[in-house]
This record gives sequence, structure tokens and C-alpha cells, in this order.
Amino acid sequence: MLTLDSRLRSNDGECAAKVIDGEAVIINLQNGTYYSLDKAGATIWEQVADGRRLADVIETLTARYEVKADRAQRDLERLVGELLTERLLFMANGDTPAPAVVAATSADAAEEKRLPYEEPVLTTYRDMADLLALDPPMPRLEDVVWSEPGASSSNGGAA
Amino acid sequence: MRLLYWTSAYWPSIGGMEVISTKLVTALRARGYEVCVATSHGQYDLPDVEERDGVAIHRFPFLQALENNDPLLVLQTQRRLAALKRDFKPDVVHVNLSDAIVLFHLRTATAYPSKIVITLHVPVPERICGPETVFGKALRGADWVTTVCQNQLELLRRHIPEIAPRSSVILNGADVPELHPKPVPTEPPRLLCVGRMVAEKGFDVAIAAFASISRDWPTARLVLAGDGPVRAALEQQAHDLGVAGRVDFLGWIAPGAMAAIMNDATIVIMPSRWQEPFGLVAMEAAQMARPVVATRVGGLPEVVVHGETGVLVEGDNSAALAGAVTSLLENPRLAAQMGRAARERALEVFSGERCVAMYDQLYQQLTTESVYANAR
Repeated sequence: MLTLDSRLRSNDGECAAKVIDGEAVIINLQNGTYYSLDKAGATIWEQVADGRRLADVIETLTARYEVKADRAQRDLERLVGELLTERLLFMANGDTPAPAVVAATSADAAEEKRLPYEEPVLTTYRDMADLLALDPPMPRLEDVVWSEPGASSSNGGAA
Repeated sequence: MRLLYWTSAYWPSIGGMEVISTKLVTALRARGYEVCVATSHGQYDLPDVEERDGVAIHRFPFLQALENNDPLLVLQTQRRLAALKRDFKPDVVHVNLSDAIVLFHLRTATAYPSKIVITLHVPVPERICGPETVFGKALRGADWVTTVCQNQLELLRRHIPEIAPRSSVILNGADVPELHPKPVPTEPPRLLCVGRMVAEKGFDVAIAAFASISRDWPTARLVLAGDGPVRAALEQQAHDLGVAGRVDFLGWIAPGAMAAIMNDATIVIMPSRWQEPFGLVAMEAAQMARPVVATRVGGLPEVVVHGETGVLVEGDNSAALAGAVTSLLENPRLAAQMGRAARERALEVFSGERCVAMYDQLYQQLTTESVYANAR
């Protein structure tokens, strides 16, 4: 049962994740499924996976994006539910709490322009493992010179 | 016209798609296109960016990022690709769809508003064509989808019916080699297989068939050009069947040397098991007036006309393969006649110029339509 005091952690034993400039990629290492989150979704992942209280995450969202707390809470709970279902997060209430909120406070935000808010969507690619096995693999090639007219130089293999 | 040409492998890597892609890009460049290639490093230690014959080649660690489940490399690669799309501002992005790396195209689809052409190069089972699948999303998001044979188009339209009004076949094509075909050699008979030595290519069936053929044709030789993970097993099989001394393993052959290899062949064999999307080797054999014995799979029946330019047999059946090859060896006039018919057809149907012209026309049509749409 999620509450505002709930804290979670990324399931590092089963997934690998990274966030760069507002974009998150999460990979389920057990089944090869790829996930991505943008904008507010990436913010949520970053904060939740790091063990922040959900109440603190909502505060970050409302400070950083043009969204009210009730909608942020609704979207957060839905997304966290999906991430739990996908086994990318686990409940971590017994763990050592993460440091106090470091995200922008409302006061900070007043000085910064808040970003437009879009409902966070967990984009899922479940067939990556299938696709990686689709084409017969290319063997390691010996060096062979291409003799195409106009070819500058190089090495290669055969048809 | 600025074209971002996307292909999982490109020069100097060699395979059917790489050879076709490199020739197409060179020809489009000659038609005045500004072309930029997005591709992988393949097996080579190659620079991330390189120019060849006026074409900028940008290489990305697509497969490395995916196969290593490396989210940081995925994101870094995605960002570099998005930057390329924004900087190059392509009118058309032409994606050659063959594997998982199309994920990166999907993830950067909104980086710049280009027209998207997708050419499908692999057989696609229905399970990977759903609306939530990577291929399904890529194909549904394209402005136009082409396949390299009719068989693939029909399958694709069955899996994704909504694609029908914006899809077509553009058969692969290539310029005929300058080397003129020699008369089909009959003594000793030389049977040729070319390709990656992977189980899907069925070279083991060819060796099994050859063991049977060589009992009646003791001077015959089987020539296998290519390399790959099953080569050692094939060499062992030839040894076990007592034909090791008459089976030649040539290793990889450069594209420019292919015509000469074909010229030395009596019959070219394509014993593929998987649904060959086209069968480039069969086309190359036809260009050199060689009859082809191939399995009836995927697009091969569109490249080899049964009874006219070669013989088609069921897959995974060495007795059927041996029978078809023997029938041509016993009738060299028929074999030569099929070779000539194959070349005549190849000049018309698989012309490189026709192939380039069809892509050119498609790109022009799509971008012109967008001009009209913007004007409205």
C-alpha cells in the first residue's frame, strides 16, 4: 500500500537504469525488456529510485513543473504502481532514509520558471530479446579488400 | 535533397544489405543527393565519423549498447543520433529495417520532422509486428514501407493491413559486372555456394547432397565461399562424408571478385533454410548467366524462375537438392540455356539503375507531397 511516506528503491539486482538530461532508460536484465521515461517521468524515476519519500517527490514535481499537487500525486502513484508491477522498484520503507529533500523547494521554484507538465508515460519495448535474435549473426570477418570501382580503401568480407 | 540513410551495416562490412546499400548510396550521390549514412561499427575498429566518396558515414555503437544492456550507452548513442538528425536536417530518413537497432530510430523520431521510408530486409513473424512492438511501431510510423520482394510485402500486409496503401516492392538491383560471363564450365563441374556460414544458409544440406552427387560425378567440386560460426562443423561434415578433398572452402570473397568466382561455377546452389528476404547471391549468379538451384523459401522464387532460370527444391532435403543438381549436370545445354535466360531477366528486372530510380522517385514523391501539404 503506497502512502505519502512510502519510500522505494530501484531493483538493482534485476534492472539497469540511467538518467541523462531528463531522459531515463531502464532495462530489465531478466527478460531484456526496455523502458523509457521522459521529462516528469524521468524526474520521478530519479527521485523514487533513490529512496525519496513520495511526499518529497510530489514537492519536487510541483516545484519543477506546472502541475498541482493532487494531479502530481495521482500520476506519481499510477507510475510507481506500474514500475512495481514491472519489478523495477521495490518497497524500501525499512531502509535508511534518503537524505532530506535536495530538490528545488517551492521558494527556489518561485525564482525559476517552471516547465510545462506532461503526464508521465512508461514506454515499454518488450520484444527486444526477440529482435536481438532475429537476424543470423555476422561472423567476425577476415580482412578482405573491397575492389569496388571508386572504393577508396579498406577491409571487408563477402556476400 | 538531403537523405539520411540508415543501415545496420555498411562499407567496409560485407553482406547482402551492405553491398546493396553502398552501391545505392553511391548512385544517389551521383544523382545530386546529399547523403549521410548512419550505421554501426560492425566488427571493426572504425572511426565514429568518416567520409567516403563524398558521403559522411556516422557510426554508432547500436548493437554494443543493446547487447550489453548498457543504459548509459543507449542514452549517449540516442543523443548523438538525435543531434545528427537535428544538424543534418534530412528531407528523408530511409531506415533499412533488419534488427533491434531500429529502437534508436524510434527514440529519435521527433528530433527532426523528416519523411520516413522503411525497407524491410528480414522475414517478420506476426508476433513482432503488433502495435506495441518495436518493429510494429517503426513500420506503422513510416510514411512509406518497401520490401525487397513480393512475398515479404504480402506477409507484411497480412500482419499490418493498415500499411497496404503506403507500401510497395522495390526489388534489389545492382549494376551488371564488367566481367563478361564465360561459357558454363562442364569439366570438372563446379558447384558454388556463397554466403555467411550460419545454419540458416543450409550449406550442410549442400555438402550432404554433394556427397551423393560426387558418386556419379567423381571429378565434381563443391566450392563454398564465405565464413562463419558453422565453418568448422561443415569442414568436419565434408571429412566425415569422405569428400573433404573435393570441397573447397574459399573464405570471404570481396564483392568485386564475385563475378570471377561465379564465372568458374557450373551451377550456383542456394540451400537456405530461413525465409531469404531476397537472395542476393541468386541475383549475382543470374547476372553472370549461371543457373541456380535454390530452395523454395522467402523471396528466392522471385529471383529464380523455376524451370526457366534455375530449379527450385524443398528446403532441408539433400536428396531433392542432389536430384536437381544432377539433372542439370546431365543436361549441360539446358543448364547453359537457363543461365542465359537468367542473365536476360536479371538485366531487365534486377537492374541497378532501375532500383536507384525507384528509390529516387519514391523520395521525390514523398517530399513533394509534403510541399503540397504545407502549401495548403
